[in-house]
Amino acid sequence: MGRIFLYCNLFWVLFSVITCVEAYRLTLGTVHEPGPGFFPFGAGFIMLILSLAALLQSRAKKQKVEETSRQETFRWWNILIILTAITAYALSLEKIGFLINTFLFMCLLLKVVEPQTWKTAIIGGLITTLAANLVFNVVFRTQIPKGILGF
Amino acid sequence: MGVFNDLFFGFHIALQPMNLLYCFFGVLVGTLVGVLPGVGPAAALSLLLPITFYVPPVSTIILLAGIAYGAMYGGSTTSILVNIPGEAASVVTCLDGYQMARKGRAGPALGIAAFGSFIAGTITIFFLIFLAPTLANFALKFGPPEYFTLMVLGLSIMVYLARGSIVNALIMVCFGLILGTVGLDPMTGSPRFVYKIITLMDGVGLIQVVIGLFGVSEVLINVETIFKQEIFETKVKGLLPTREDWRRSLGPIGRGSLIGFFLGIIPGMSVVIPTFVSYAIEKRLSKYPEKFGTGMIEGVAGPESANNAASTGTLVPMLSLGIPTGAATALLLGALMIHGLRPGPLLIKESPEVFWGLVASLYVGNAMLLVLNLPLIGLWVKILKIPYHFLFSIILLLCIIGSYITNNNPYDVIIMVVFGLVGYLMKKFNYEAAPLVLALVLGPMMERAFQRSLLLSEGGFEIFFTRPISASFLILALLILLSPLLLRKRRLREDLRAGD
Amino acid sequence: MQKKIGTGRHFILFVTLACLLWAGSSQAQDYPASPVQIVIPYSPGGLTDIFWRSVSDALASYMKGTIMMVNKPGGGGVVGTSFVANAKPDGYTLVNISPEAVSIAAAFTANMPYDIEKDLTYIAKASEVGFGIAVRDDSPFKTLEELVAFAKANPKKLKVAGMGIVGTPHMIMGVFQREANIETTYVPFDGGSEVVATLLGGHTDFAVVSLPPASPHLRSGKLRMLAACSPRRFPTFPAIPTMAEKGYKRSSFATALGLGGPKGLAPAIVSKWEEAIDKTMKDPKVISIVEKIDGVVIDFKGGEDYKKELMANFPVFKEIVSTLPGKK
Repeated sequence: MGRIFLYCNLFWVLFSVITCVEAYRLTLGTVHEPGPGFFPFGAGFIMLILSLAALLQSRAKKQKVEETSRQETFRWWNILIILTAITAYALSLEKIGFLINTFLFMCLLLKVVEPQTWKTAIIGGLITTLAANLVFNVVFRTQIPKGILGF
Repeated sequence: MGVFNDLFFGFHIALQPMNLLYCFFGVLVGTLVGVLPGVGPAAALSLLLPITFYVPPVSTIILLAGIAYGAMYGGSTTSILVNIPGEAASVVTCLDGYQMARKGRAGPALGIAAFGSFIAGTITIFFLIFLAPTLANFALKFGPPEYFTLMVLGLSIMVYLARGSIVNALIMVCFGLILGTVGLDPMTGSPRFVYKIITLMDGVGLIQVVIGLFGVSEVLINVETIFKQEIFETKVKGLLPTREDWRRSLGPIGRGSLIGFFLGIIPGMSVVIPTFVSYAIEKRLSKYPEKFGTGMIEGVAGPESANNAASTGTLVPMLSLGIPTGAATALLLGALMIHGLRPGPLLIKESPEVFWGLVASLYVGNAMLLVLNLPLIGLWVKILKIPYHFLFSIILLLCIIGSYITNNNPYDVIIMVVFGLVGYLMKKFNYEAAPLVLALVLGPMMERAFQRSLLLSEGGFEIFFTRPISASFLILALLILLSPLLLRKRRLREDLRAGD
Repeated sequence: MQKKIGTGRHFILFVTLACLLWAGSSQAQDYPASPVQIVIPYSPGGLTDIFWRSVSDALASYMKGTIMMVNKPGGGGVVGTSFVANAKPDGYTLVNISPEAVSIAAAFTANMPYDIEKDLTYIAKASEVGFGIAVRDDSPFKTLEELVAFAKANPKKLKVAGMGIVGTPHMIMGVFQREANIETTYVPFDGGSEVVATLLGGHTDFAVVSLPPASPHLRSGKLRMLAACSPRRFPTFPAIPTMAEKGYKRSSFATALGLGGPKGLAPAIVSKWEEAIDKTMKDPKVISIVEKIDGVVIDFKGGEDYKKELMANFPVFKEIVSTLPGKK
């Protein structure tokens, strides 16, 4: 299981190399007259050294990994669903509007991630949507788009 | 003493029924603003700005200051309850405050946060009254070199922030520094790591990153397995801090107040930094530093006091020089200007009722907030009893709205999603978020200070050493970094001696 | 009020005709039928924000509609402006137009999310926001001439603080250096107040300051303003001569606040707004509020003129930007 840390550190090595390359393209300047790429290059370079050191370290000794109890199913799909749902919410917010989006979002979460009955999902979604609308749009008038419903 | 006369005069104004009402309304709105993530005092202040046209100047100031203060109090509430920082300054409170909530000690956490803020506010108001002009002039001596070396000093203290592997924490720091460079380079206007994504032109956005890293990732971690055990301990162990809690918290509160106030008076200093410094210092001074991050009350008491003290501190340059520090004071300034009042050296002379009325109402506001927040603790704790399979969706919704509202930009929410994922992965692979956040805040400030210093010195580095304040920071930083070595040497010597 | 029509069929005809006439009538007459969104591409509380919120009541009444201010900060104004540039040209989404997000931003990068010539409709200019060349009270320079003389003799020695790089103060210094034939070192800071704090602390020799943060110190005497970068003298500081009066006509420019929208706005809508803004900026109540905001000078111009004014400085800006490190 210590291979996970190997991959992590490889990732950071890669990340720092890319950063340094990109920073170099932004002109480094000199130490006395630093250009836009100076600072990111420096940070990337330090990260490179650190991750290389960590890489060597993780190969040298077998590190103990805290295992999350694998007795229960690892429901990775929940994570995917949640992240996709939020992304969809964000992208459609200005077209569809706050009320509908929030309602659909809440129903989706309640029904799919931690399955509830349809009744709970819909009622819960409704209450939350209305409450959120009250707090944000009415009390604070924070201008969240109204969208196609127009209200 | 003339000052007490003025103070009495101030209280006379602040305690007028109309002004009391404005104060109350202000702190109420402010608390709400603080509780809702992403909605900062700036949003509330700007919305209420039109109302201020019709209200006398003293009352306006009292109202707006109440909002700014209330926001500070409210911000820690969501940090403790659901690990969502109400604003950037409340990030540190998440570290131990949320863990306390998970152990059923949300009440004491909220309580000590409220009390700590109150005590800090009270102490620092007196500093404000007596020391404002002197401090302001001292703060002016801070130029780019001083800012840079101060940040270096801050970073050196931060070495004590790391919980686990130092290498991993340092990698996080570098990651944060690199993320901080995303956007338009402030020195040349060239886009860095923007890749034509307009939203990134101003950087990744601290609030979105923080909400994602803390709030969203926490939800993700909790939903990946069926929660057989409760996320929050149902048996709530008491609503208020115990005597033991108080004993442990008094020191942090005192230290936090000092740290917060004196860092806050520096113009342009972010309110976030004093909270990190306070946390690191409390961890350094504690007998059980390894327990920080599991629910140590010192980790809440110190930063919360520092938070509030820093807010009072930012009023020093604002009132004596007319120089705001951050969005809240900038708005206060704007409101004053619309009423034809000009904060600055002449404010105390020309409009004493505004200055002293404000100072007195700060105290009144602080007291009101304490009275307001204590009963609310019971309410907040009840919210935690909502079953998690419902609560999590509300949390996520708050995260989304909070990320969107700062700039009315849906792509900010996408950034939050990305960092939610990043935060989740970080939690799984044992990388800490705190060093990343700190670097994200400090990095840009350090870079700018460094570049400006070089422009002033025409390329030479001696500027950091020839200026007295700057040089002292560097020496202090060196001492702090070497201190573990020095202490180890001393301990070694003592051990040897004991062995003889 | 309707005449009673005899048969039902005639009634329907009448109503249909009335509807057609109503729908066919010029859109501008019913415009604005719902709230108009004016995007302020900066954070709440800034000068632009305060300006528009101060005039919005009067403006709304002249337009006979409602106005909603929305803040969409980012990229020095580019994010919000880009949002409006890509919006539907139905007249319900407009934006504050200032040079920072238009001519100055375009001078910095060829990758603008909108073409400043073609993708925006320039409706009108409302006012100018000036800056000033200021020194500390203990500075050896009592007049602008002394400062220029010293700068000529000591190229790059004088350090000047200013707000930002992609901004008007930087451009003013660029033009000023060319007009006066001097070389100074420009040190950018993040906000108007930071610039004032830096100058007060004596960290730079002089600064291009924005008026609001500088004014209390100008009044108390801690700071001295040598010249005003503005086409006219500031109403709140009438004793300070402008750069033009000092002999530097080209450097006497400021940033501006105006209104614009996406390309393809109906001319009727544009002229309605032009008229309303003109009336608003002439309204004595508005004048009394706006003139209290330090640095703001009311200066109305129609859309076409505003566009010309913004584009006029564009070549100079491009030239200044090309001399920055990393841009060669």
